[in-house]
Amino acid sequence: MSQLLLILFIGSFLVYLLTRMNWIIGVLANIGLAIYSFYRLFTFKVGTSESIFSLIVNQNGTLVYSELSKFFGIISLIVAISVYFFLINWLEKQKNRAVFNFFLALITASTLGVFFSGDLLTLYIFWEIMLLFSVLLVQMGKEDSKKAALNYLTISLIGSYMYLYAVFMLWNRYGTLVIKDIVQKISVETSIFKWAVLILIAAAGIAKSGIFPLHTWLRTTQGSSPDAFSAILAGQLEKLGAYMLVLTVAVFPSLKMFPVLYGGIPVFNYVLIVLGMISILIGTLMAIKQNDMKMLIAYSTVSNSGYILIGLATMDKIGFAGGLFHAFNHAIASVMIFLSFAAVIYRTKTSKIDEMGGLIWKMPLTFITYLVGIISLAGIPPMSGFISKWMIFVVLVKKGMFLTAAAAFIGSVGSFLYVFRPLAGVFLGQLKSKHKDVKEVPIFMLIPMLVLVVITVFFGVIPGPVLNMITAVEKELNIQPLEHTMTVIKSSVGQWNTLTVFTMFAVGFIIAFILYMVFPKAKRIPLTNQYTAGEFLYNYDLYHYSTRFYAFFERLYEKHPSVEKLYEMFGKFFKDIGEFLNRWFYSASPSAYLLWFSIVLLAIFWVRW
Amino acid sequence: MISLMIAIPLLFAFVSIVFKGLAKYALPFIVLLNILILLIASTPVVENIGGWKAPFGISLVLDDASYYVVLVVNLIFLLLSLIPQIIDKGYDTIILLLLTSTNGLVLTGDLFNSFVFIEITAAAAYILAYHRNNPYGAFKYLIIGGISGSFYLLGTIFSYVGAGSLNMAHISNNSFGQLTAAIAILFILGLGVEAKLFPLAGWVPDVYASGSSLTPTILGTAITFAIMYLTGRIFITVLHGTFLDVLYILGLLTVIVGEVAALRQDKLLRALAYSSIAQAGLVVAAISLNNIDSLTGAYFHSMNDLTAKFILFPIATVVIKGFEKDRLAGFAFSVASFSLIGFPLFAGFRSKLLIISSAFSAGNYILPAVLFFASIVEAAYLLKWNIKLWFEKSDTSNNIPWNLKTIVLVLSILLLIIGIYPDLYLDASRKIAQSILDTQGYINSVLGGI
Repeated sequence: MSQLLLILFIGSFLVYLLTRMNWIIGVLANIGLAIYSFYRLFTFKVGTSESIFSLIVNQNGTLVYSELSKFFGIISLIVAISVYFFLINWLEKQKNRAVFNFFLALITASTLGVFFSGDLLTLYIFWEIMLLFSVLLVQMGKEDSKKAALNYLTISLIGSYMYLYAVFMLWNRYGTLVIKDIVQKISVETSIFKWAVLILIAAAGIAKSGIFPLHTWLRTTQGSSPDAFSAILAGQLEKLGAYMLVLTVAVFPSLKMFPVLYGGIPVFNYVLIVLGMISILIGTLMAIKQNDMKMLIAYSTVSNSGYILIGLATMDKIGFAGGLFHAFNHAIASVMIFLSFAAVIYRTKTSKIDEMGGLIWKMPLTFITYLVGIISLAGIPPMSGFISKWMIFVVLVKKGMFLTAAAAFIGSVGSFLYVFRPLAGVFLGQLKSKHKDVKEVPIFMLIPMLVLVVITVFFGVIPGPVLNMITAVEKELNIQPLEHTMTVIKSSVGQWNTLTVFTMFAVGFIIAFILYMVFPKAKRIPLTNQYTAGEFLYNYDLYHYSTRFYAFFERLYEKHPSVEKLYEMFGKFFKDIGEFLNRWFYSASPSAYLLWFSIVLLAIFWVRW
Repeated sequence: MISLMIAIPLLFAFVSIVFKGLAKYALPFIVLLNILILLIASTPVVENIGGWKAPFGISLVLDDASYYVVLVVNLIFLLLSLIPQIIDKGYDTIILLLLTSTNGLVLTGDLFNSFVFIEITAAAAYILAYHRNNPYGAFKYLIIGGISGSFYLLGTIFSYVGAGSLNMAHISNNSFGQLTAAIAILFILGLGVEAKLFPLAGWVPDVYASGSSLTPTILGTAITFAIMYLTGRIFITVLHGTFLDVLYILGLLTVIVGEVAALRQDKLLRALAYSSIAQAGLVVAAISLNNIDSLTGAYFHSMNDLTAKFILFPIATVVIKGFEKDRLAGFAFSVASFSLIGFPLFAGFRSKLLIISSAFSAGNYILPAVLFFASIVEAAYLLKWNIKLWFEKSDTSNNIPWNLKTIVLVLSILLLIIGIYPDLYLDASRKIAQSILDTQGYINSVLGGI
């Protein structure tokens, strides 16, 4: 594994040089590296461990290859490879191509490093490398991405430093950082220590995957970062957060560490579930309000991370599997959505929903990608997104967690509302006159999008291969494995046969298609006739309803409290304190310096004599 | 032999008053000679000036700690002498004087002697602070520096009263009883101003951010490092770690205050000055933990900080618009800021890691928390400046001289190397730490087992 990581890190420098010479060759080299590491993931034997450089005394860094690292490695490489393919055409419009490619390669390398890490400090190092270069990538986007990048950096650093604090607490207590050793020792600790450590470690995952209360960076960061990188951010980087959450609830044995509450769920996980619940609600409600399509999906990420977290935190065989599967599905679906957005922006140069419309006529394949993506994201059968959501619902119902189940259902219904908005605003409706000449995107942008469509549909029909990997992870983490076959998932409240469902859908589709063919063809009329019933049209641009799409609904929670504003207040508070200090201590006159000097003198004398 | 390191620069400083322009050419050779003297010397060397035996006369001590500190100081002056453009006419004498006093400050084994050298350093620093026409900043520094100097002198007098000697080793060997508190407090106030502790050192931003590239480059690196050494030596070797808790609190306050104050600054130099304050606070707080790992971490961090600051300050004064035309300088600037923040792969990460782990081993849970808070704030404003400078449109290049560019580039690569292979700095700082903690060894080598 260290060999693979070394190849990737050195290879990324090579990618940089190649991209400087010819950017297409650079992108191809990047694809080559990603495909090579994808292949290598299958050649490693699970359970092997290697030791690498040492950072603190008596502590070697270790790499361990587990089922979990395999699962997450595969997700992140599928995402990476499809986005890199997309770049073959897309990168043409980006400035600083060499640096862009170089950073992408480094991010993939360090992401794999995080998944391979066998001890907490090595994990932190790869985590921070990934963070640094992703911040530098985010700010290559639109004008306001500079501020967004700082926002992202600050919140991520809050998470990762909290994590590092926990790492040192553990190191101080046990003298080791190897996850396997710590896990064995920690269950007999005092409860304050356990709570502190796990909350601090979870903070990194919460910040990265965008769970309340550290979700505020997602909107601006995903909204303004380079369009193709938004896909990486949603599909690859936020899944690091999911990995960290798995680490917190499952690798650290939360079942053994904490007293079990209602429904057989440990207290600590209950706290996480509440956070996940809030994230689902906030993500859904805020997504409905957004006019920028990338920001809209950014909020949907908040809500989907909530689902993942709830699924994982139940520590139930179905729930945990549902959480992992949802991580997989969300990665694929959000990459599809962001890539289709990138394609739309590539052609129309805008991401505002109300500035577009009717693009289905011009970009049908992009539309299909988006459609399949949102179907999967919103959890409608027969796409794979439905299966994972179903698994999470099943466990919530089975455990009788009705409040959480209610939130999850509201989120699910809300997701229909918000994913429909770009669908109606961007792809359906009236084609704007300025977009008359828009063409479908070039072939290399289409290939990854359509391949992802196939993947989503395929795993929607035959989820077996992914479920096999998930059950392997569950076995490794001492959770009862999920019972399933290639197309059937069994649970205590019944079973779900994906093939039957797919056949039903297919049959329905075929019947509808036959009816469509049998009945007389509808007359083709110009688009605008629909709005005016054939009357003469005076003003072309007025007839498409997409501004404040859900105004009737938004009014219900117009005056909502906002965490974002709270954080802005904190930021302003610190800045004001800084100004105060500057004025009273540093820019003061010499006499003021003397005043402070004598105050210190008196204070020390008074306290210490 | 080692007294030459003080004598030769002083001699040339006098000569350069008459032969104007000589100092500029002489400086590299003088510094090289100093380094040569260091290379052939084997520690510990104790040199008694005028042949008076240790507790009675002034002695210069070159043990492991002062060896490496003097080496670092002279290397910084060597680098400085390689960029003669930033040394304006008339300031070369001051630089020589500063070299004299800094070497003396580190080498001396005598408290009163160290007071003299501190005053010379401060006097040279006042003049440097005036560089680029900054009279008010220099005046403020002069007032507060003068007061702190008199407190340092008072501390020296008290220890003479208490121990009957001015020799550090001899003082360390005796106990003062009740006077200890007075001495420690006076030294805290005396050194705190130079060590940039809050709220004693209000002068720093005004002096560092005057627009001169010479002033912060030398005051924020070599002088700071020498003062950090002196802090360790006086409070740990001589005073046996009394009153370190006061230093600890002041250090932590300085870290927080420095970082928070930097957040609001719209001038890069001023932000860097505050960052310098915060790093000094961190080093003092780590020194005050008083164990081998934390001291090693403190001096290691100080070295990383001064390496980064030697890149940041000169570039910050030269660059007005952006890095679009000076990509190499921009690279060096970014590497230095990442190291300062403490991202993995860069040097600052290793030293912060060491400080944190030593604090945890000492059962201190507050210092790491403060350090993390400071790092977050520091990351926010340093990255803001990096992004701004990299992506601001500029058509003109900034005229960064080639020698400065080379030096900052080499230093930034050094930061990367230290990040992966820290032994170069780590060994030096461990030696410094060991020797500062080894009170008995110091006493034996100076007094010769009286």
